[in-house]
Amino acid sequence: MRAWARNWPVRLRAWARGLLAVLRAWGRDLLAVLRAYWRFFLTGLVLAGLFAFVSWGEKGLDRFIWRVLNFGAIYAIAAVGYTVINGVTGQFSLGAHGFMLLGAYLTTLLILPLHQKEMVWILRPLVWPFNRIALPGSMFILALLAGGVAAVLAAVVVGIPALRALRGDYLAIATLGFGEILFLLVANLPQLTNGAMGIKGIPPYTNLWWTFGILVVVVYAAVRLKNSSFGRALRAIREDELAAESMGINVFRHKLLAFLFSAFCAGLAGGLMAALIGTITPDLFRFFMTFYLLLIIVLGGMGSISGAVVGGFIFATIFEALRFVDTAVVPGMRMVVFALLLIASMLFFRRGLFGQEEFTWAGLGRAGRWVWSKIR
Amino acid sequence: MSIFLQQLLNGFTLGSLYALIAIGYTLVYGILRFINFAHGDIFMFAGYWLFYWFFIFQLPWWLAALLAVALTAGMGVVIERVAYRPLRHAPRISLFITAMGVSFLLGNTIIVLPWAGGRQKPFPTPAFMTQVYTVGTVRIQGVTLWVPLIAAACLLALLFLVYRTKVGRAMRAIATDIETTALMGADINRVISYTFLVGSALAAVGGILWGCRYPRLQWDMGVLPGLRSFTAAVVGGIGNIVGAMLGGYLLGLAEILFVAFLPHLSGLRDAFVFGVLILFLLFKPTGILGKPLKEKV
Amino acid sequence: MVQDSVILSLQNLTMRFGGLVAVREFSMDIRYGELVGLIGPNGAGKTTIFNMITGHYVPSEGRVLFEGRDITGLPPWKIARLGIARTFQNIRLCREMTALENVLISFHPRVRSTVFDALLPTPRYVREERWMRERGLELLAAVGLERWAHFRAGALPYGLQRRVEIARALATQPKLLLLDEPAAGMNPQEAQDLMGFILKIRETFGLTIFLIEHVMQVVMGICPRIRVIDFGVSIAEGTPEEIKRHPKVIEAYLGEEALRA
Repeated sequence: MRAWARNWPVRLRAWARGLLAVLRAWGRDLLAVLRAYWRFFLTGLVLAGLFAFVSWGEKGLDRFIWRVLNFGAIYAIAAVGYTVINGVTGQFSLGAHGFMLLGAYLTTLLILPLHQKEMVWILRPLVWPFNRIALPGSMFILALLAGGVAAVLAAVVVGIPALRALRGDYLAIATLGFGEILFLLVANLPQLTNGAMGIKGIPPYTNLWWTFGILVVVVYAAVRLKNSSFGRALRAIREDELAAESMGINVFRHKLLAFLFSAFCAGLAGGLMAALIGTITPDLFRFFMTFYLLLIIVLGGMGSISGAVVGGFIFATIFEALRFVDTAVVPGMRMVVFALLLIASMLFFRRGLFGQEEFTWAGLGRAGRWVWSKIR
Repeated sequence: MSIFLQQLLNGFTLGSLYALIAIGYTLVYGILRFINFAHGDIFMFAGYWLFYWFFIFQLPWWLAALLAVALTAGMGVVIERVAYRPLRHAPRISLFITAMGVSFLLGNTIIVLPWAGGRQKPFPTPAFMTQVYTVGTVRIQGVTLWVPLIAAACLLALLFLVYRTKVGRAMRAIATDIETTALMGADINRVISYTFLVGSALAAVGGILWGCRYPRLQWDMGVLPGLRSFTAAVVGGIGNIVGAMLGGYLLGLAEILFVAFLPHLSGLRDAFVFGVLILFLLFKPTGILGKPLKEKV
Repeated sequence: MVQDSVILSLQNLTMRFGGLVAVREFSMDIRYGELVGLIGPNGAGKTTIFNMITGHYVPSEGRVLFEGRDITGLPPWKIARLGIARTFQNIRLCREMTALENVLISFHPRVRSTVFDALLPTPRYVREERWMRERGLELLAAVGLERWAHFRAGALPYGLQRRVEIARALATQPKLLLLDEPAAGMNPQEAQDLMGFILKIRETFGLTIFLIEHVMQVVMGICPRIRVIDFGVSIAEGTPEEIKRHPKVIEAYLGEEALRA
């Protein structure tokens, strides 16, 4: 006891020194961890920011901007899938509108309230089991997933024969034909879809939480896929299908994988869109929808997931910004602009914004340093 | 005249129109190996040129029709020059995408243009098309008589052009092997321009005859006939001129018979055509008369 | 594995394209560990024979036996997984991918993880990916390309691209390696180096090699046994010495030179 009392300054100093050493070690470790995983921290930071933004924006945003952002995210979801099959894998498919159509209709059939169903299907009653089902808002995700699965099933039907036998523009035309067949079926099955008159009064479940949440998941999946061994196989198929096959890659299975992924994304996007706009007709998901997606991925860079996301938001912005031109000045002008944009980017800007590359933090750093060196 | 014969004649008429359009697809595919997606819209444009010259500028019908064919043919050449030629050495899929862009551009240009617009317009049908002729005991309308006849005449003229003239020989040579032909000193660009000229002119004739048969104009009226004619080209064997004609007639007949015998499925008429297209692409991509294109390993 | 037993047996292979007979009744046995050359003038049907072995063409007649198993008509990717790898006459690399990625493609068929493993990613997938990268770098080092691992394959000089292609074929862990005119487009010195390289990888990886060459001199130095074809027909087989003196061979090559002159 007395010894302790006598030595307390020494002991205290020793403790302090020990504490300092521990803290320094922690700091070093923390720095090392930061250095090794700074990308993940930055990504986490961005996700947290996104979370904060969405929770504020759901109430605080101007309704017009809210709508543009929702549309942007929906286009981005579909475009990410689309760029995986068209860009990463290089298999040119033009059937995306058919898959969106399926997603939109199945989601709608599942979430439309029963009283609304009675009002819409006046002439002929809606077939079982949809006349008994009306999922509440809390089960919206189930309806969306069902839409995605429906699209995947359709993709299996067309993909198994078409991806095995066709490539290039033949594949494009065959998938386009399939998309149109889906449209014609939907338009000609009034007991199920109310035909060309469409369905109105869809509950507006879609909001920023859903669109951005699903976008984040889809982007994560697509990036993981592209950077994985499977993604390498997909890219190899784009670059030289014959060589990839000669190295033992089951080309057909990988093409199908990419195709199903893209169909799933398109189905989700279709469902989200239906619950955003509230009224759907088969005409809403015709070939021009695939044209939009094509424009998005061409602008963003075919095969770039980052490009598809950025392109989706850019497209939605231009689309809504030009709406007044379409309604007030010259109807149809918007599509002329889009068509010219597509032609021009094919002629002069074939790489697109990102080429086949992706956004990375390191790349941003390089770009930042480059800009900084120019400024100085 | 029995119903069946009437339907047969309808199918034949429709088929001859498909044949006229299908030629354009097959010529371009044979030479450049890409699907000129905008061809259907070129076809549509011919009707609108006629509409303009006849209704707005009040020219006599025959002159308006001639001008329409000439202008449409010129459009085909210009489009190739501006949008396709710079991409000749790019991946083929880039050409295809560009052609889609051109297709959407042409269609929506109609909506934007004054006097045309997005709503349906009447097509100026000339008197000799609506007149009713009496041959023996059979009374026959001008359209049913003239449309297949004019179409057949154009197809014969095309066959003559391709198989009996110097340009035609150059076109066939390029279709076989573009590089060798270039080495032998042929002016590839000129021949390709000719190809687009001829293909678009035939599509223009097709467009005008189509208008006489179904006298309505709409900005997107080129899309479906375009796809159906492309189907005809595939059925006949893409790249093969005689095949395109054959495919056109076959598809026209098949389509009319489908509607005649399965009237309750008439809404799915185009689904039937696309089904034919997909089945041919999958199981007989070379069509009825085409030769297989071998992939080089 | 008995040195003398047959790894690849080609029996009466015939390939017709329409009316044209590209290869007529070609038969040949290759034993484990052999290094065999197949030579012939341009258009003699050499690559067609390779394409029949690898499944890119299905022979009109005849059979291909690999390790005693009939592989005629199997799709290329299955044949590759059985242990036959190849290179191409006109190099077919994935040009936009790095040299390392090109090699990793060949490991992909052996990946046990599913897509969902890759999406999550599960430890199994992470382990496999790390294993692939290490093995890929090792392999590139073994062919002297470690410096170029992260370069875009299309940007590498021609000779190195050829090596990447060979490394990619080796990554499939083949028992039999088919080399389609590996020295094409090289000057005599480069061709000589390449032949030394081929001998070396054959030692290192214990391979059987079947080699097509257009220029006779190139294979003379390294192949103990050479087969000659002309117009799709086998015309001679023997040691380099025998081939050099064979009247039909001289005729075939003289004819070509006369054409060229």
